Amino acid sequence: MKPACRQALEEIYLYIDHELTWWRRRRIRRHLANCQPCLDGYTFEQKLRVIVKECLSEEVPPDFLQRLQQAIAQERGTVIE
Amino acid sequence: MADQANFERDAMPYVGQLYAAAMRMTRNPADAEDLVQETMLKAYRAYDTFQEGTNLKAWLYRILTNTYINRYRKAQRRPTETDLGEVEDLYLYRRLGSEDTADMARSAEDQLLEGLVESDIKEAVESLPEHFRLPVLLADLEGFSYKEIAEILEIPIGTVMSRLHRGRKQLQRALWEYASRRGLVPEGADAP
Repeated sequence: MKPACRQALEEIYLYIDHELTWWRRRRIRRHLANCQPCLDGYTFEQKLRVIVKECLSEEVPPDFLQRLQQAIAQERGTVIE
Repeated sequence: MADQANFERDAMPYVGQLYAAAMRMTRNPADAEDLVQETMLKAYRAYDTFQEGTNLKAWLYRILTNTYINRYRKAQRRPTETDLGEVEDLYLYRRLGSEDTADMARSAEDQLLEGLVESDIKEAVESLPEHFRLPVLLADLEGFSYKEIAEILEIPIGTVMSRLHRGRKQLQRALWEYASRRGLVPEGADAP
């Protein structure tokens, strides 16, 4: 692996997480624009991240929402007393 | 300071997200409901100490994770921690052999990404040891920054980064297992 690729891949998660300073971001962006294998790896990670996030969402059971609202209302009652 | 009268208006919109995180923490709906309810009641009681205009979502997650750690963690079996010494970055991508065989591999990537079902991904996340699972949930499900995660979990930012890094590697390794059980990996790629 070329040193530039190694350097880019070392920072790829930081890049995806938006945790790099602008100039390091720019360095990676330039590398990805010129290196197909690294771009493919980045694209795969990005897609995986989206799929993981989508799959982890949950529908809140409506009866739970109702119970929760009641519990807060009850708490409010006891606080006022 | 925030007004308790506004609590429901301000905080209820986060219940769906808190519930999704609670499901992956406790691994079952009944405990997840208890955890979210306890979190919201604690938040309500303490709402007059919340500095209005600061990060409400992070504040709620801090209560959620503290409540989880204090109350539920003790009761749970801890998954065994595997040695991650030699797991590399972009683990799944590399296992697919994508670096070498560009054209064929690209379809292999799509096959894997499209073939994994929701329960695979949920179980893979739940299989992570807790010190990896919480940072991964906060980053990948909730989109918190490293700094926010450090504040929520009360650990140094360097620790957040290393746990996140190792947690994601372990997640990818678990996903590889699911993919390979479903026959989603190309022939030969599964060989050690």
